[in-house]
Amino acid sequence: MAAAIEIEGLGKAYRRYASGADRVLEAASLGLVRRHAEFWALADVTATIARGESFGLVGANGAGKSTLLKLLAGTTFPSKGRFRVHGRLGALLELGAGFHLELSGRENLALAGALLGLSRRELREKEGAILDFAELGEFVDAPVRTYSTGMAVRLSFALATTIDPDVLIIDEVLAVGDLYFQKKCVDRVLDFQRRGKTIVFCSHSLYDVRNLCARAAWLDRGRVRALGDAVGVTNDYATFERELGEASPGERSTSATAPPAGLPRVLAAQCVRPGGEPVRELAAGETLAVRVWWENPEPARFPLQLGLGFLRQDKTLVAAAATHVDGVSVDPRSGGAVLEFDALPLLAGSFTVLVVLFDGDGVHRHHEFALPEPLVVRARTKELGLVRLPHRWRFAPLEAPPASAVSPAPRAPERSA
Amino acid sequence: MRATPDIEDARWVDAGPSSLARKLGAGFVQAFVLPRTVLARRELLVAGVRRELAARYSGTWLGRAWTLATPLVLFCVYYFLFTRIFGFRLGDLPDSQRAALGVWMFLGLVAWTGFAEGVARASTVLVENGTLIKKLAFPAELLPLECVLASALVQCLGFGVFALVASFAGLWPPPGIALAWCPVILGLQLVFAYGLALALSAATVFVRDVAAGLGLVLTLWMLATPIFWIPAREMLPGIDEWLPWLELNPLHSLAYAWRAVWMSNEPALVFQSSIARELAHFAPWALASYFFGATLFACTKRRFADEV
Repeated sequence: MAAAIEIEGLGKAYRRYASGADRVLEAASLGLVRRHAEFWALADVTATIARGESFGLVGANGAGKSTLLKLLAGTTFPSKGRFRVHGRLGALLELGAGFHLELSGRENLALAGALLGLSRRELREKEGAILDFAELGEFVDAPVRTYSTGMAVRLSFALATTIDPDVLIIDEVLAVGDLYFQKKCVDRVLDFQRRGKTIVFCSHSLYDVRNLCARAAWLDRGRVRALGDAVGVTNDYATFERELGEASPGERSTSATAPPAGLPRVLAAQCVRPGGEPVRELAAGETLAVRVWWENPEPARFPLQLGLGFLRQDKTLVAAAATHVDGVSVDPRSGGAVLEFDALPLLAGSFTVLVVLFDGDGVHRHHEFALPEPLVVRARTKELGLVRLPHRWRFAPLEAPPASAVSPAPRAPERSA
Repeated sequence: MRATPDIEDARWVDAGPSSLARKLGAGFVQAFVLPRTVLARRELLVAGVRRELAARYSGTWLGRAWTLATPLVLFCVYYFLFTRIFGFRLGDLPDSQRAALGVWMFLGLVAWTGFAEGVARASTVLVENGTLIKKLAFPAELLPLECVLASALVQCLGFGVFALVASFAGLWPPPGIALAWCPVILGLQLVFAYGLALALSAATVFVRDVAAGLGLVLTLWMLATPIFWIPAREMLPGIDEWLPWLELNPLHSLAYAWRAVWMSNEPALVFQSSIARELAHFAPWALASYFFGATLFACTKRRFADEV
């Protein structure tokens, strides 16, 4: 299969200077005097992405995903190794990228078109389609700096996809904008796939990567940790993250997910019996209540949704409830809520209770808080499994199995001597 | 250009040469490629120059009229100041040329500003347009050129205003055949200024102090150039001793050439030299500046996106 992108031993080092004097000294000596420390954001990445393939990139923050995409997009240059991209490239890098903030949306289109080498006629033909897709309204002729985040993303997405690139690079922008637009974007990406275009896609959403990509690479501190089938790679990555979480349980809930000041956060959570008595251990089928307190400095800016999940010790989500799924509206002001489970259907085991504060769409997570003490459930029966499914047995006489029923494979015929 | 996807023969992008000597060599080669790159991107360039000009007076009521109003008012001021109020007369000039000193200073100032302003603007242009470089992969070499061209355009307007006003008002005889030198002088000035602009803009990316110090250097440079003074014994008695040194200054030659064109090569105004001779002095400077700037720029350009 023909390659769309070939990457050989690619690396990118950024320079760090301890002081301004070091920087001046090195510059003045034309680099003969070295006074910088190197930081390898990307080290030795080798991969070939076939034409027509959708390729996902996963990894923690700072793993080098964005650096790799920036290199491919040509906005920064490699320090080591080499790569080449076959065909016209469209890039959707970080937010607001690709725009001159002082120029209007329309002028930016002209600029971007000229950069991409479109002729004026080509650009005029496409302008209508781009502006239609971006839905800027009267802002078309206003400077881009006055745009909302959503408008800027819409415009860049419209631009990058309407020029009909052979290779499209998307850096985590699909999660921005309202749901309606997200769907429009996803539709367009799918359309790209159908037309046999190559897509390189980076996301924290393993769900999206699995959905959109056949193959994926997992980057870890600038290196490829795994490369191959998207489901396998994302599973490996998810497992690794889980183990990391188990190895240092405190770290994940504080440093990894504690939101910065000014954003909504979970203040406290507690498992209690209906009477309000704190509980760490209860029997299957008993009633459980979970109390959650949160703080929201700017309720007008941050509408909230609340979610709660029970995780098994290997971090498998056993059951969850969320207000946006249940269609319950949450008063976003600082406060609290109680979630009650009548006759808790969990069976014997030890479960982590995870409280999540979502944004209004239920997509972005403001804060995830896992209660440090697991909830222990004792089974009173010999029932097996994780949860108790409500069930009933019937033994009515049945006619012969229809064709749609599945039969086990017939026993292999005995060999005659 | 990416417009015509050459699917099979895409070029490899690599880390480039590592040793300083090879880097400089590759950069020097790039200096020869640069004009072609610029020409291929002329649409972007023209749009950039427009933007640069529009930005100068954006938000003002008169808008672009300011580019004409400024030289017009300046010329009137210099004319009245040095002809009517101070009443300076230069040696043997006939009565029809009593405006000489005002014209001299005005032309010198227009030429100097056309050069210096472009270079000064260019020194910070890469840093200021960091987003273009970082996020748009904009051809960075166009940015300093935009500044230089915009400023030279304003300079040409200034000369034009002078020619029209001075001729119609009868303050100064209209320029003669020397006008044919204009494209050559302008071309060399652009080459000289572009070279400096490339070097300074690239240097500022790594050491911001370059742009900060440039203002001071340009002021000193202007004082060392005959903009507000005339290199003539009658005006400055001690000048003869310093003149050989002062004439090394490429701007000395440039200012001379421009004035000689617009002041009709008036011999009474110490125009003992000739445009051709002054340009012969200026041209090596222009080429040296260009190759120095273009080489330095090409060597450092790949790191701009990481530093701005």
